[in-house]
Amino acid sequence: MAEVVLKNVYKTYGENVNVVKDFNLEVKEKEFIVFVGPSGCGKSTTLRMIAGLEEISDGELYLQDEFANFLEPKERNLAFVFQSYALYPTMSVYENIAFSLRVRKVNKDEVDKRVREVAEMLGLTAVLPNRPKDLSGGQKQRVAIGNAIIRNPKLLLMDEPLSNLDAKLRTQMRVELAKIHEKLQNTIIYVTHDQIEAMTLGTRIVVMKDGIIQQVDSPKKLYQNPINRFVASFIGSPSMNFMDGRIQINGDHMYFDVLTKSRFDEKSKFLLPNKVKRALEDRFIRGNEAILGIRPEKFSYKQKSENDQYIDVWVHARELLGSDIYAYFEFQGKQMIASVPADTEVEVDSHVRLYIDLTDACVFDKETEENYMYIDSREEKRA
Amino acid sequence: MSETVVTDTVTTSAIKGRDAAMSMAVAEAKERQKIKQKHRKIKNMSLRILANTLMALIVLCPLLYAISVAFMPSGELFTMDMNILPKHPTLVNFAQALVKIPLAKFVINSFLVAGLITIGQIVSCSLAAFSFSFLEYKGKDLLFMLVMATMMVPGEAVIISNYLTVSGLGWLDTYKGLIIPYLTSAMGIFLFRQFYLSFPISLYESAKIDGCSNLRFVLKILIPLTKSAIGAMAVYTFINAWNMYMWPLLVTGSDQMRTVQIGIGMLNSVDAQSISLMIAGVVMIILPSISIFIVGQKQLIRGMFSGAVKG
Ligand SMILES: Nc1ncnc2c1ncn2[C@@H]1O[C@H](COP(=O)(O)OP(=O)(O)O)[C@@H](O)[C@H]1O
Ligand SMILES: [Mg+2]
Repeated sequence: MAEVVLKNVYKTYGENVNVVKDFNLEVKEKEFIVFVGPSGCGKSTTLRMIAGLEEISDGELYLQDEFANFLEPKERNLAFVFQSYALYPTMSVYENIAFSLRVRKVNKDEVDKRVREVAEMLGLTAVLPNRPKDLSGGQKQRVAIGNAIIRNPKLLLMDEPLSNLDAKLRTQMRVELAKIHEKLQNTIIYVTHDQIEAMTLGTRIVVMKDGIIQQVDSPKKLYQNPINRFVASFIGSPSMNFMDGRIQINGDHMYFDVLTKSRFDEKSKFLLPNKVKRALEDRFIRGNEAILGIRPEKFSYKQKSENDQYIDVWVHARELLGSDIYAYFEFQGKQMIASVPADTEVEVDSHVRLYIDLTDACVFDKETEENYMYIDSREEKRA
Repeated sequence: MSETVVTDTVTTSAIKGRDAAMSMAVAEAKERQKIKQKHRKIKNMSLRILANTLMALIVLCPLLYAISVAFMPSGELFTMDMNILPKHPTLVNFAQALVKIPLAKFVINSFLVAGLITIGQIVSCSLAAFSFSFLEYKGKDLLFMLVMATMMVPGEAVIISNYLTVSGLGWLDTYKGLIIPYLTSAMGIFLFRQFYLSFPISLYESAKIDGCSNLRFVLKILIPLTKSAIGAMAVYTFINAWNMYMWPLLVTGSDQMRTVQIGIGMLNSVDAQSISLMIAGVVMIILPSISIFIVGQKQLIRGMFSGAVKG
C-alpha cells in the first residue's frame, strides 16, 4: 500500500506564481524520503501541503490510498516536526510530549506509560518536569520529536529539524533519527537543504529546483547517476567540477577537447573511455559542445592507470580534512577542487600535474544540461 | 639557612618589605576608592529619592487636599482663611454622604458594571484577536482595518446614536444598557493581537496537527501565555469602566441603576453648600480604583511593555 501519493500537484500564489510545479511522487510504507534542494525551491511548501497546513492549488493527494486534498490536518493521522521546535512554552516537557494524547482523551495511565517510553528513548527522562526554556537546543529538538512520535503516527513529516543545531549535535541527532526510524518503522518525509543530511538519512531522495522535481533516487544512484548538471553539482561534497569543451571523433576514438587552456595547460584533449564513448554514440549531441563533469576524488597526484588523462594546474590553496586533502586550483577561470588522500604531498602555490580517471565521468549537454551518461532505471528494468 | 646566603636574604627581605609597603599603599588607595564610590552612590540615591518625593507631592497635591477637605467641617471650607489642613477634623462628611445617598447600592452597581465589562472585553477581545492573528479567511485585513478605524471615532460623537439605539431596545435604566455597548473594544483587540503576533505561527500549526481545536488552543495555550497581557487589560478596562461618567449619566434614571460616579454628583445637587460632603464621597469611591491599581500595577506594567520588548 502506498503511504503518500502526489499526482500533478501544484502550488500557486496569487495569479501565476508557481511555487511547486507538477509534483508527482509515490511514497511507500516505511520509506525515509528526503526532499532536498536549495533554499526557496518549494520543499517546505510541498511538505505543508501533505500536512494540510497549506492548500493544494491543483492536483491530487492520497494518504493511505484515500483522497486527502480536503482533509483537516488532524484527520490525516500524521505528525510534523517544525524547524522552530514549536514547543508549548507554558507546559512542562512531560505535558509537551503528552499534549496530542491529552487532546485525544487517552486515559492517564496510558499517557504516562507512553510519555515515559518516549522520554526513555530520546534521553529526556531527567528533564521531564522542566519547562522548554530551560532546555538546550538539542533537548528542545528531542522534545519536538517526542511530541511527534508519541502517537506513533504512520507518517512523520519533518521540516529542517536539525538546522538550528550546531554541527556536532547535528551529526549526533542524524544518527539518532536513523535509529528512531529503524525502531518505529514508520514512513518519514524529511526536508533539508543540506545534501549531506539527505545522503546519510534518506532511503530515497527527491532533488528539487525551482518547484520542480529533478530526480528521485537512492543516495548512491543520485551520486553515481545524476540526471543533469544541477543534481550532479548539488549532490556530493565537495561538489563536482565542470569543464567546458567539445566532443571530437577521430577514427575509432572519441575525445573531449577542453575549450580554453589554463596557463600551465599543455595538453588539452582527453581521450574518453569506452563506457563514455558508447553512451555518447547512442545520443545526438547538439553542436558537439558539452560539459565534462569530474568528481573531486577522481583527480589524483599519481597516475593510477594508463588510461588516466591529465591536466597541469597551479594549486593555490589546500585544506586538510583528516583523511583527505582538498587541493584548490583554477581551471578555465573557475575554481576546482581535487580531493586526494591525506598522505599525498600537496604543496601550496605549486605547479602540479593532476591525473584524471574519466571512467565514471559525466558528460552534460551544453544547453539542456542533461547528463548523457544518465541511465533511466525504469528503462533499465523494462529492457 | 646557611651563612653564605645571609646577605642575599637581607637584600631580598628589604625588597620584600618595600613590596609589602607598596602593596599596602595600593590596598589603602583601593579602599579609599571603594568608600568614595559608595558615598557617591548614596548621595545619588538620596538625591533621586528627594526629587521623586517632591514630584510625587506636587502630583498628589489635589488628591491630598481632597482628603484633607473631606475631614473639614463645611464651615471651615467657606472662610477667607487659607485652610489647608482641617482645624477640627471630623467624620461627619462621610457619615452624611452615606446617609444622603444609597452609596452602597451605587458601589455595588459600579462593581457589577465594571466587572462584567472587564470580563466581556477580555473574552471578546482575545477571541477576536485570535482570529485576526491565527486564522486565514477572506477579508481579514479589511475587517481588521475597520475595527482599527473605530478607534478614530471619538466616543462623544456616537453617544447620541448609541443612546437612541439603546432606548429603542428598551434598555434605558437597566444593567443591559449600561454594560452591553461596552462589551468589546478595538483597543483591546489591538493589544491582544500585538501579543499574539509575537508567537510563531508554527505554535498554532503544531497544535492543529496534534488535533487541538481552536477553542482549546485559546484556552490551553494562548491564555496561559498571555496572562500578563490579560492582567494589564483587566486593570485598564476595570478602571476605565469604573470611571465612566457620560454614558451612565445618559442611560440611568433611578437610584437603583446609578453608578457611584453619578451618585456622587447627586450629593452636590441635593444641597448646594455640600462640597465637603461630595469630596468625602469621592474619597470613598476612589479607594476601589486605587486598590485595584495597587494590586495590579505589576501586571499592568509588565503587560504594557512585554509586547514591545520581546524575550
Ligand atoms: N504566502 C506566500 N506567498 C507568496 N510566495 C510564497 C509564500 N510562501 C512561500 N512563498 C514562496 O514559495 C517559495 C518556496 O518556499 P518554501 O517552500 O518555503 O521553500 P523551501 O524549499 O526553502 O522550504 C519561496 O520562493 C517563497 O518565496
Ligand atoms: Mg523551508
